[in-house]
Amino acid sequence: MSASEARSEANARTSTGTSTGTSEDTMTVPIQRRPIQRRPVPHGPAPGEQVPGKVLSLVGDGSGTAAAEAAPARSGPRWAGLVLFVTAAATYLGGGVWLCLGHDSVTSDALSRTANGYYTVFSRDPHLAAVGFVWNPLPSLAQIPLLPLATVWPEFAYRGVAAAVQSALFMAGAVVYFRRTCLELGAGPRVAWALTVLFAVHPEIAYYGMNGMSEGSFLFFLLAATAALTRWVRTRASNPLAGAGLALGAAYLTRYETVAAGLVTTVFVGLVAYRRTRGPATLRRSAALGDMTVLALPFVFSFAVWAITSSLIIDSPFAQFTSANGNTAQTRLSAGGISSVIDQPGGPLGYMFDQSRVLEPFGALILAAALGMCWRRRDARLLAPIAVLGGAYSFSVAALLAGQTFGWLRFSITIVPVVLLAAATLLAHGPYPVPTTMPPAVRAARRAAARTVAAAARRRRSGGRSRSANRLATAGHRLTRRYGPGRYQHLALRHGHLVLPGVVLVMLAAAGPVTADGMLNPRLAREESYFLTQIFDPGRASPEQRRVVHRYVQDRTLARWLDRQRLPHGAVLLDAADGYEVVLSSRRPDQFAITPDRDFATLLGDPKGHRVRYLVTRLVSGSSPADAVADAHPRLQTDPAYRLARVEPNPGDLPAWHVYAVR
Amino acid sequence: MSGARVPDQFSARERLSLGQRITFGVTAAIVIGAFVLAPMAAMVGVIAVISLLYLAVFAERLVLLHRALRDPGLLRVSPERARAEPAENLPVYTVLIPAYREPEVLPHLLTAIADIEYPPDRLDVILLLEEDDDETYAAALAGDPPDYLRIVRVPYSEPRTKPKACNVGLTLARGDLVTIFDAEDRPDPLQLRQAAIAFREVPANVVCLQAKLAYFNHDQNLLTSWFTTEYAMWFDQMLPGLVRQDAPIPLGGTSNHFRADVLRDLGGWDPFNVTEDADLGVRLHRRGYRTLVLDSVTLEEANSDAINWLKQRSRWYKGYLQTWLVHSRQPIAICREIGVLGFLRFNLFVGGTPLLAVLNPLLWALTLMWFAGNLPIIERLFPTWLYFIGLVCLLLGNFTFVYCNVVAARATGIGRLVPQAVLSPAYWLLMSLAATKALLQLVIAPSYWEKTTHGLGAADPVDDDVDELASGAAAREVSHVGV
Repeated sequence: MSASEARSEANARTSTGTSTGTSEDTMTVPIQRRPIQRRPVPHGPAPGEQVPGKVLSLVGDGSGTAAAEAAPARSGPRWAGLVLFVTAAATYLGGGVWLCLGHDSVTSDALSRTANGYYTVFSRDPHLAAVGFVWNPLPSLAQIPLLPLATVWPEFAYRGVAAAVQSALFMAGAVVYFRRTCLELGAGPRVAWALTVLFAVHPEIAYYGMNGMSEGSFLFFLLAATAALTRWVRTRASNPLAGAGLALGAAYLTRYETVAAGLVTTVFVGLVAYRRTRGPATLRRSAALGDMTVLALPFVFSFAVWAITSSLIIDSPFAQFTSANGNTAQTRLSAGGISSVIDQPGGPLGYMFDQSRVLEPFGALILAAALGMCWRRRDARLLAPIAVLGGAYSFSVAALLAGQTFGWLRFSITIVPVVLLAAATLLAHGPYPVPTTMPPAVRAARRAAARTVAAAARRRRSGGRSRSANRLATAGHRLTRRYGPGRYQHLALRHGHLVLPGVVLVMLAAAGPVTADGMLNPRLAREESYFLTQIFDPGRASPEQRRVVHRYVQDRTLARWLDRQRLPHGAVLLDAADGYEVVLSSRRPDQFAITPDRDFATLLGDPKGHRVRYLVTRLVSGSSPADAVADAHPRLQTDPAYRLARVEPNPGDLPAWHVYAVR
Repeated sequence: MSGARVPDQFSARERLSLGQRITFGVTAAIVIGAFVLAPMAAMVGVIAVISLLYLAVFAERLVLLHRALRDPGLLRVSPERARAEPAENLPVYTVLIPAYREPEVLPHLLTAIADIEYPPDRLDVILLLEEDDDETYAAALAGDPPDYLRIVRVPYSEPRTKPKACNVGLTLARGDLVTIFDAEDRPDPLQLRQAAIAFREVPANVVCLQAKLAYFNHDQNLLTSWFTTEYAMWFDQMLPGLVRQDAPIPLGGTSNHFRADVLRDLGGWDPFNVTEDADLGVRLHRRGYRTLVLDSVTLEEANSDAINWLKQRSRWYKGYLQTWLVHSRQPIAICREIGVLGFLRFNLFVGGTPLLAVLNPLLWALTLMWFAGNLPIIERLFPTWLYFIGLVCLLLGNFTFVYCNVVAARATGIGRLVPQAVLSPAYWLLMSLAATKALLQLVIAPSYWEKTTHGLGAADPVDDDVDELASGAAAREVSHVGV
């Protein structure tokens, strides 16, 4: 019994054969038409007897079915993806727990996203819109199902573990999709594994898999889109195109850079569809328009829903750019800080180029070589990752040029998968070329051997067979034997095919130490170095960098101080955009009246009338450009209606909390 | 003429069984009582039930989609393989073609029959005409029909429906295999060979093969392009999912192929059910038989006129409701036959489709009121948990359904359909109208068959960009007329 027959038999025996198989079987099993024994069933089978679905799909000639064409390129066992996912997730999570519990190193963005999810469930006024409209909601929404764990293990939320779980899972998923894209690009299983490992352990990728920020989810959806779009370029099937569209739609809910990725990818899809449709121009146009619609619709939908919901609830469709806590406001506040960094020879573009060299020192070279190879082979597959990931990168470039972002190193993170995927293209089609010209070192050695032999011969001619001439001749022959043409060719034939992948992989592996060092560089990696220098190179840490690991100490002591007073609901007014950790670390989150609460404005207008006991506020800083409480009550210090009750002792790097009691 | 007859408990002759009357009566009494005693709570309850229903339909749809996309499991027989089959291996095949007062499509019909690549001595085509339909009869005679075509005039009796005519045809059929085509259909000429080969290779409990249906006049107007997309979605995304799920398959009206002995044993079609095909699919399944999808296309004419479309669609919905009522008469028996989950799915699919189409406008109105007026009553109607369900259905549900249409349109390879599929919510509005009409008609005239007019424009497929099948059929039309 052949393998396929055995499989058919097995499926025929299962009562729910319909759900046991997958399309991969039809693709990999050599399809044989096999007479299926007719059971003598004059009046139908017994009720409940079911059709073995698998056997039936084998009927036919097996010529490439649509499903098979649309199936993902796959090599190796199916559990490989699962093992990869579990390993990567466990590693990132371990690193994340080590960072947040071991070193109390949590980024404010990570914690505030956790808090946004937390408000929807545990605040005084739990409602979905409490997730907020300034930042894209998906990283927060993804944590909501995890957060009930915080009721039994409070550190899970307020120390940043929930955020780390979120980023670890998403980044592990991104790693899986990265490998899938490598295979779609034609890389063999070993090359794909090597590149996947290089991607997964790249310091920038690994750090953002651990630290709870939104890069993990962003890369997850971008790489899911990349894998699907590459498959679409390969197979032209509609389902992968829809998959890419859905992934981009979801990516918009993680980061605004997706706007550019979506636009660039839509144009790319239109061009590819137009070029490869045969027929009159109208037909080509309608095919291109159709494919662009399939790709762009989910993205347009999530864009529209987010903007409409946002304008219905907070009267502003794009709060990220208009809110007092949005990115635009933050950059405006710290524009001086950025300009000091990027106002140097080369300008913003030079700055970003330097950053790209930190992430992938040989990136430009590998990308250029891969593009050249694509052009020679007329293979457009690599353009799919470049459209998606490069599109996202173009947003970062444009935003920095417009002075709308901080130029963080992580805004260039998509460079890492782009370069590694370019390498996948470069190494896609083995057998690799055997070098026909000898490397310079070998050539020099051969020349030296020839010179030595010639010198020995000269000596022999001039002064007979002296011992030194003999020695020289022996040395020359030895050199010739080692580096002579025969020996060299033998070596080249045996191992020459490893030269190209070896060189490329070494160039890519160089990114590891270069990025690790660069992430502590306060000029190019301001954010990473701020958080990591104290941990990895304490000797180099500046005073602020030393204090950042104590950033949230004051929030937690303030929360404990408030908790002890057993205050009623809504007794403490606080702007959640900055005071998230106070709410997260409190055991009584409903004592706070926070900005997402629907009655916040009412309470803020008349604290005393609504039995508010405390107003909590602090000086504005780079990471908290506005404070709703301070804005509404600018003269708290001198207003006789309020009394400064407490200034929180503060070992951290942010201004201290001031608590004003309502008289 | 005696012969096949659907047992009474499976026939839509009686609308409601006693048990159903009692159940409906009691339910109505409870609902009315609740509205009288606690109107607000009753409203919330009704909305909760509806929302959960929508959520279930949405979830079911995602499952179907997943299964269909993962492995469509279509039966494929390549054209070469079909042509190569020696004639002596092919069984006698009966083709039933019911028609009523459509002399204008007769020439097309005769051409389509002539195109069928099947040994003439093993082909048994029966044109079923009503006794009083002289015009079609005359047209058929004038068209010089081939020897293997028999014209049968169905004697007058009520109800005058297509299934009754088909039952007459079934008693006269000589074939081991039977199929039905509509008069205006253009089946793939190799379909009978493909079906015959497939039947030999599938297990014996597969007694029905449904061929795919598509429309040749997709570019006639917006309605036909929506209709084409809808069919593409049905045959690409849903039917394969249902097959994979081992659920009862509501058959399409034409191009379903049967093993004749089993069909006779089952009693043929129910003449009182206006979607006798859907009903038959469920009945087959309940007896343990299975239906698979044959990857062969029959081109039909899509309804291009809105009124005509409404008539057709409301008949389909009425038939679905009839089928639902018929098979829910003995819930315990059907649960035993197709499982509790299968019965729930059957309810969602066969009963839910028309009922939700009726409810849709109500919920759209509620949504509009919520957006426009911000009325406090609506906030009270949706407590938080219900609000989330509603939100999921409103946003994700509607998006998913539109996007399924868009992807199905793309999969047809006809680029022009895709942007039109984005507008499919307007099509749903038409569906709601049809469903409302169906519900009313189910009460007033349950077995009344609204005949769909065919031959409205678009007689021949011309300049078809993608459907080579259709243009191939058109080309042959010229050369085979009169054969």
